[in-house]
Amino acid sequence: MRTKWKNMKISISHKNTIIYIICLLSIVLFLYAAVSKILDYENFQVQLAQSPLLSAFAGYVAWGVPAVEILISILLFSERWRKIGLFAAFGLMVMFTAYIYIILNFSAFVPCSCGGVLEKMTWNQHLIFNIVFIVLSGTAALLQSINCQNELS
Amino acid sequence: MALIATLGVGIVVVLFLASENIIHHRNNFVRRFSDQVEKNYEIDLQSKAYYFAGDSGDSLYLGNYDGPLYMAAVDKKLKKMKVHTLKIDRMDLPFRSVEIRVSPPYFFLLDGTVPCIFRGELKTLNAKYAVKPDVTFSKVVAMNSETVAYRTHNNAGESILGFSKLDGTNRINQRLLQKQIDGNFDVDGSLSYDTGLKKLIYVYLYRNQYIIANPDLSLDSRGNTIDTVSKAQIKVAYVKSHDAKKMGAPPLSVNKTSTAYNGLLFVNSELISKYEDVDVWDQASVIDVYDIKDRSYIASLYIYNIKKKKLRALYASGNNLYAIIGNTLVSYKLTELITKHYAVK
Repeated sequence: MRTKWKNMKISISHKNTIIYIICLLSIVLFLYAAVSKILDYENFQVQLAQSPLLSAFAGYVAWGVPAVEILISILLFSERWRKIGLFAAFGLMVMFTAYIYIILNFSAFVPCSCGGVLEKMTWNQHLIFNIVFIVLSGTAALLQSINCQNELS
Repeated sequence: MALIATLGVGIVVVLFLASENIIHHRNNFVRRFSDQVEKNYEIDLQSKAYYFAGDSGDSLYLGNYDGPLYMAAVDKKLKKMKVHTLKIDRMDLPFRSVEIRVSPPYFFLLDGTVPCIFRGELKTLNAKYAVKPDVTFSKVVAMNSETVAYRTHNNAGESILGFSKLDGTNRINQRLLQKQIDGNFDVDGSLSYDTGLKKLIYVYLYRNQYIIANPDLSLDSRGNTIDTVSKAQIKVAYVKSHDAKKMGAPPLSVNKTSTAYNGLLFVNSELISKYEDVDVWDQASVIDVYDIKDRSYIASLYIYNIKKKKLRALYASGNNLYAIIGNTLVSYKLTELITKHYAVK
């Protein structure tokens, strides 16, 4: 019984490290993306207006996306809301990736409005980059859920 | 978690479907497809960077955006292709946008950003520096072996048409392109020169009008394409922080590209007409054919996509309409319904 408890403790701390690292990476990504959009806000808004999918909502999306990115970063930073933050990060990355996929395959016009270094990637690199973060945030979200369950039991 | 993923993808898909409706919205004009044209020849160009530079005798000439000194000669039956490398006598200029144009027995090598014009003989493929036009330009066409016409801009930065001769003469006409919104984006279009008819034709990209001008840039007349978009449906935004003008909404492309030959104007239109089959629209591009002499609409034809790529360049010669689709150069035989409108039989 004792050894089992010890093993469980070690694996929990491994899980926590993984979660911490992923949270850190995600916070850096979202804050970087949000800040570079805000710093070039006027241009960002015009680029969104060029998008066939978002043109009608360019105004809302222009302040909405950076706001959500910052909000998620705050959630990830806090202990209490981390799980929600991770699921939200996962959802957001899924949406971004779906958007890229549709724009690439079904649209004639391909604008870019991701911010900073992300703009310099090719679309395929961007897609892979996003999928990596989907996997990371998804993994961390699952691990965090399991952790919470374990703590309760 | 699967729920979140599905919800996320679902939202984006809904946005996409809503935006698609706009593209397939039917317009209030009708096309005539009485005669079907057949594809008679095809050749794999091995590169997606070729463009039409002209023709002479039995050959079509193509330039290459990736290799600006390459000139490909393809026989008009698209059986063989030979790629030549041009030589020019000056490599020291700040080239950024080099293009070639053929005016037999010569060819031009031009860069509108420098600006500069070189000319050489098709026989020798050596081009010599000829002249520096007094303006920067784009959309250049060769009118004869001494003159090239192009689109440039006036002092206010608005687009206008002009020409330059090798003897140093330059001329512009500010009244040909007519501003509707901003003078740059809204007057975008494609320029061709009909050597048979000796007319310059400019087809607007965002509106249903084309301009017929004489080689001296005087206006001949203005014609209309069959669609109903008379005012450019574009929005131009000024981004102060970048000191740049950009499109402020997805623009409505009306006439994507065009070419003029022997009294006929071929226009690749982006607008679906009233009774057309949407499914065909996803597999082909439509070309509307006009008679330049009386500015009338003759008929339309479809040019099918190859490997999901749409046509991106047009050229007509003899009884054939040539198109570049992705890596492939195809030739469609024009039927009598169309060729009977030729200016020079």
